[in-house]
Amino acid sequence: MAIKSDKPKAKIVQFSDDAKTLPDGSKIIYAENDEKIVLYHKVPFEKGNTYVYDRKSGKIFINSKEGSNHDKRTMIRLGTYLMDNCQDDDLVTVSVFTKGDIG
Amino acid sequence: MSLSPLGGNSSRPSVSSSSVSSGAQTLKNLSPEFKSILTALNIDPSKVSHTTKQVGGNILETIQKSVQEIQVIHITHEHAEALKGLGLVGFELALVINTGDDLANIKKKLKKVQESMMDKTSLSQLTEALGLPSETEPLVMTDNQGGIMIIRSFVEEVEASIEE
Repeated sequence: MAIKSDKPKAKIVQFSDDAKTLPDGSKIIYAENDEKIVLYHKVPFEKGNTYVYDRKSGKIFINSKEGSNHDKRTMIRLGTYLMDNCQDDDLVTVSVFTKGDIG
Repeated sequence: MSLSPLGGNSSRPSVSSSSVSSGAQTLKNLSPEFKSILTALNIDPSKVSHTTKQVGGNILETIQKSVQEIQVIHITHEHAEALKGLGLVGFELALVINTGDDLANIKKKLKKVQESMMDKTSLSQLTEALGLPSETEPLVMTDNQGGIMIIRSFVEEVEASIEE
């Protein structure tokens, strides 16, 4: 399988072990491409929240609704919480390629 | 919640320097979380052909491209004095980047090079390409590796947007 482009459409950082959670029991998936940064946060028994930061406009959207600086800080807090509570070995980076990338 | 791109199977890749690829057929079983994230990134989950998993990072091609733009210089007395004014002391070598890229792209490239430094083989090739002796391996002095570093970079980016 030949890959036309060596650049993935997106990179997703997540725990390599599904069983692993953050100390509060929640899980976070981080994803990015050139346009957006996405952080998915799931607390047990609650609906997951998807934070989308638009890198060009600087706007943030939570579950598709535009948010405020307060929501950006929440997103930062979650990212910091993830960093503070896991080692690099705990994580795996998934590169996503789409059909247009394959020759 | 399954955090694996493929629902259910979450085995950790057993390699640290090479990637594990998932073929197109198995991607029919993308987990709902994975699909929702792809959708948020404006990527049609049905068009995902394959994914690769890496513990840390081994982006050798990035290194190869980057070294064409990177030059190692030895710090002279004049350089040292200039650096001292920036509060930077004790350096013997510096990397000079010859590129027309803007700062954001340079930071991205450096981030990828730094990710690749986790892998000893890549690091060895990088130092060799830069003309550095192999005993300089301890030049990796950061713990900001792989996924952690990517997330740290995001935190800084979003923080900067608030300051604006």
